Parts: sequence; structure tokens; C-alpha cells
Amino acid sequence: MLDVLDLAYLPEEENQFRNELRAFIQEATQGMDAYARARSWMGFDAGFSKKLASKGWLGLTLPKQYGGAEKGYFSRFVLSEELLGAGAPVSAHWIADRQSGPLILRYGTEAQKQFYLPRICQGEAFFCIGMSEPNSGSDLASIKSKAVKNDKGWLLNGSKIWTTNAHKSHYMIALVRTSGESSDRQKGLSQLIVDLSLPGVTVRPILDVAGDAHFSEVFFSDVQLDEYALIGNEGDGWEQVNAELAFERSGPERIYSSMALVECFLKECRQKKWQSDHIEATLGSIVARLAVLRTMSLAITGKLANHENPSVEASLVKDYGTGLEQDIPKLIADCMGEHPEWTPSVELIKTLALVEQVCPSYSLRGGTREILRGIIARGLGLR
Amino acid sequence: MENISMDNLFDEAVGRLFADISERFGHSLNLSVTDDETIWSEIATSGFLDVMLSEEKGGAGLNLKEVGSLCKLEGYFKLPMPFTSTLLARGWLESNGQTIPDGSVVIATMGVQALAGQRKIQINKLPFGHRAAFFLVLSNQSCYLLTKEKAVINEVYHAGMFASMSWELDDAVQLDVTAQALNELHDLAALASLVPSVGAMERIFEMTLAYANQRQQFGRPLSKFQAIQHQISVLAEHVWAARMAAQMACNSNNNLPDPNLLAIARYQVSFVSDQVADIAHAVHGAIGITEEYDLHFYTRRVREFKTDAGSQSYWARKLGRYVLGKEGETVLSMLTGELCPR
Repeated sequence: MLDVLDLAYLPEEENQFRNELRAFIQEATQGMDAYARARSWMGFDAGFSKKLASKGWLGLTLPKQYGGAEKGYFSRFVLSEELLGAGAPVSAHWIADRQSGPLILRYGTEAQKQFYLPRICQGEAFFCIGMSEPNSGSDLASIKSKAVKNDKGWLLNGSKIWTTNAHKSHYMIALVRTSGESSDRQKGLSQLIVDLSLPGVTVRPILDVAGDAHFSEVFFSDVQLDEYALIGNEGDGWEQVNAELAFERSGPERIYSSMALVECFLKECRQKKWQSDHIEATLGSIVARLAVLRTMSLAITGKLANHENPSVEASLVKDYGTGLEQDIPKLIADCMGEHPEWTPSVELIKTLALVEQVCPSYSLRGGTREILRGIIARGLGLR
Repeated sequence: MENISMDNLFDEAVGRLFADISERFGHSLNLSVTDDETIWSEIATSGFLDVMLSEEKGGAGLNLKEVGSLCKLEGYFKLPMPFTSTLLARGWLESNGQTIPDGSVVIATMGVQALAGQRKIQINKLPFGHRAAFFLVLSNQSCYLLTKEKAVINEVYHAGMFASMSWELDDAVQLDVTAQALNELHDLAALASLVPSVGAMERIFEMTLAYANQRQQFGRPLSKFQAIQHQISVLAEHVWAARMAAQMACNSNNNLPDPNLLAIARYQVSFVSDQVADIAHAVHGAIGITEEYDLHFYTRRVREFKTDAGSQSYWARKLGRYVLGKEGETVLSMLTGELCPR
């Protein structure tokens, strides 16, 4: 079912939180140029994550007993928006904070919660998510990595690929087969927490088109995990992963990936007095689409706060949002070459080039455009 | 629904009225003058045209937030009359101390030719022009009230949604209103064109979904083909964004939209208009472009109204100029500040 999205309003008290955040982020990121900010949630800086943790802003929604701030979805929206909107380097803690922490809280045992959650809140446990494999991309249910139960726990073999931050993380939450064969598809999959420092784990970073190594290939060769590695129920991995992805798809991650470029372009237009109907129309169209998408994203947050499960609506907003994120570099590029006397700065030129190169990833990560459109179609009863 | 609000009740009642009118008159492209009169008198007697007027004037004092969904119904039920613009114009006239005329009102703020030498006013694209009784027209920083009686109808375009009309300047009554009121009237014209269009989009979406489920090819419904599914998913995205835009435009506790939210909404709705119509027609195939099948009423409205009271470039530039001029503000600070519905 695809539900109607109604305007949601941020509670008044979030303004104070936003102001505090904005001042902190401004101070902490003042040395960053647009080129650095354009990495968005791929920018890794463990020191910055630590600073956020010391302010109490990691594990924002986690219960206080585990070191969290026990705040609600609206606060989480504001925090994400301020960090991403500024292009702050959040990558180190991002996955732990937004996906792994909530997953452990929801499915973990008390011992797992007490072990991992305080570390996440302190910025001491960084997580990555092991889903794709060399022959299993969108067809996630065909994964082959396998964990076999033995007297010490689980013996893991196989490999993962395109795993964001695997080479910089402490733990991976891996989706693996714990029973049956690949042909059993969604059945027999489980989620395991893998300590990446264990013997038998090899991590090989992969350079991307921008020269960055944010994702990796990970090999498991007879990795012995203890019995507490299983998160949630054995065999429920598929359902757990989907719940996790639905959560991930709902946030402002899917609006602001090209924000550093937009801000850099706006600043340069003002500084250099670039004026044309085309520039006005381009900026207006970008801002208008951003504003509508942000309101849609906030409406999803409103549904979460209202204890609804807007997973189809979140997929819709994500697909729509990544479309805009990918249009932005094209629209701005056309303005920059509009006038022979205009001389774009080095910063603007390289920021644009970076965003142009990496923007295809916006509609790949966390579910491709085609997967999302399939989810929407299912929500509409078409399949 | 645990608490049925005032506007839900209005929505239901107006929906019933419009559905009934649409059932009786909505299938014809050539309504007679008598048909027009019948339709309008049913709308007028319903009392809904006064809902934005103050209680002293016999209205219900509803604000934009409360009438938004009502106005969408004009497009959803392909009403061949300027319901929304009349509703908004009446509110504007009252707020500006003007007499409220008895009849339908069209607002025209763009494409108004003032032919000084000939002392004439001519407008070549007036929504429901030949069907309306009164016209609020913006020309050379002045506002005129014109009447149907004094108009020359130059052309009624095919399907009767727009007409070209002209008046002798001597027959125009100039209204004594502030410059601010003129800007507001322009925004109301844009609002009157965008909100019913979103209603039409909702209907287009429903029709397209139903048709894809019902029409069979290669032994199965169209809806089972992935190529069709993905097009309909994209259609849903555009329609959901347009709906959100309409809510943003109507997010006001009085009878005027916030100018920036209006510009955002007008841009967004125009931006998706053709994409919505194109996908609907692609899914429907040839039946969609026949006169007998209703889709064209809705896609025509969506396409033709996307430039009424300013095209998408016009509104994008207006917003873009504003953003450029706000030195010291970032896009983020504006999105989370004044461009955020409150």
C-alpha cells in the first residue's frame, strides 16, 4: 500500500537543537572545502565522530541505559540533515549510528546490546554491512557466504564486496547462509556480527572513480565466530535486512548528496556576480525540488514518529531524491559554461567533477533504482 | 477516522456535488450556455463559494490550509468551471474592501495585452473564459474588474477549457487596491491553476493504475510487465511530489499563500505536469487519445494549466532570484528556515 504523505511539522524544541548543532558543525568543519564536503556521508574522520560522541550526538535514538540520548525521530532527522547538509565527514560512525545500532537494539540479546551499543554511542565501534557478493548484487537472496554451526559457534567462509568502510570498521553485520543452498533463496539466511580483526578475515579496499577507497572486498577463510555472533533469529536474516533497509531509505541521505556542490555554486554566483536568467532558473528549480523532497522526507519521519511503517513511501522518496541528486551536477555544469568571460574556481571545477563521477552510486547504494521501483509497484498492488 | 474535521465534511459534500455535475455534464466537450448556467447555479446555491469569506459576510472563515483539498476536487472531477479561482477571488476581494460580484470569477495576471491605441484589453488564454461571469485582470500595475456582458469572445479553443477574449478599456472598472494586493492576486492566480491540476493528477494516477490492471496483452494484464510497473512507479513519485507541493502552497492560516512556498509548488507541479500526462498516455495506448475516453479531460487540464499564471521557468527564476539575493544564507539555512512549511 502506498499511503498519502501529509505535511509534518518539526516540533518547536528541535530549533534549539538545530542551532546548537549548526554552530558545532560550522566550527568543526571550517577547514573543509567543498571538494571535501562533497563526499557527504562517504567522508571518513574518526576524530570528528569522536567529537560528536562527546556531545552525546551518537546513538541519538538509543535508550539512555546503553549510552544513547533516547531522542525521537524528529531529532534524528534534524541531526542527519544538519550533518549531511553541511557535508560533515560522518562516514566513520554513520552506519553504526543509523543502521547497526537500531538493528542491535531491535533484534539483539541483552548481552549484545550491553556490549555494542555503548561502544557505538562513544564512537568506538564502527560498523559496516556485508550484503553484496561478487555474484549477488540486486539479487541479494542468491548469496553464497556460509556459516556452519560448530562446537565453538559459527565457522564462516565466503566473501563480500562493495562493503562501505570494511577496511576502516571494527565490525561487520553480514548476511550469510546458515542453512540450505542458494536455491533456497530467502530461506536459511541469518545475520552475524563479524569482528573484522579475527584471523581469516582479509579486507582489500577498492579504489573508486574519484580516487577514494570507501568500499572494499572482504574474504572470510575459516573465520571462527563465537556462538554470540548471531543477531536476531537464525533463518530470519532476510526479514531483518529488509526492515533495516526500510529504515535506511527513509532519511535525508537521499536528498543532500549533492548539497556541497549546490552551496559552492551559489556562493560563487554571488561572489563573482554571475547573473543570467538561466542561473536564476537553475537555482530556483534545484531549491524548489529540494524543498518539496525535504518536506516529503519529513512526512516519512512524521509517520515513523507516529509508529507507522512507511517502507514503500520511503522507497518512493529515495528514488525521487536520488533523481534530483543526480540531476544537480548536470544542471550546474550547464550554467558554468554559459558565458565565455566566467571563470569558475578550482574548487568549483573539482567539486563538480567529483559529484559527476560519483553520482551514479546514489541510485545504487541501499537498493538500486530498479529495485526501488519494483518495491513501489508491489506497494501499488502491481506485483 | 476518530475525529472528522470541518474540512473533511466540506470535502465530502463538495465531492458529491462535483461528482454529480461531472456525471451529468462532464462527458461533453460542447456544453451549452444553459448547461453552464445550470452548473454554476448548483455550485452557487451550495454555498461553498463563500467558505473563505468571514463569518460577518456569511462565510465559514476557512483558511487556505482548510480549502486546499476542496480545490483539488475541481480538477479531480473535471469541473468545467472556475471554482477555485472564484473561491480565492472572493476572499481577496473581501480582504481588500471590494464588492463581491455575484457569479464566477477568473483571475488573469499574465498574457494580458493592453492595446493603448485602441483602448482595448485582450487576453488570448483565459481559463474557462467564455463560461465565467467576471474577470479580475492585472494590467500595467492596475487591477480591473471586467464582465462577461461587455466581452467579445474571439475564440473558444477546442475542448472549451480556454478562450480568447477582449474588452473596451472604457468598460473596465479599475479597482482601488494596493500594490501589495496586486502581487497577492498574481499568487492567487497561480494557486488557482496549480491546486486543481494536482486533483486532476490524482485522477490520472487512479485511471492509469486501473487500466493497467484491467487491460490484457500477451495473455496477462499490462500491470504484470516490469516496463509498465516501473513507469507507473515513476508516475506515483511525480503525483506524490505534486500533492506535497499543493499542501505546501496551501499551508497558510489565512487566505494568502506564502510567496516562496507558492513559487516552489508552482514550479514543482509544472515540472511534473507533462511527465504525468505522458506516462498516463503511454500506459493507456490509443484509447487514451480518443474523445470518448475521459483521460483527455484530465491530461488536457494538467498540460494546459502548467503555464497558466507563469510557466515553470518563470517561477523557478522568481525563487532563484530570491535565493541569490539572500546574502549570508545558505541553501540549507533557507530550506530549514523560511522555505519550510510551518
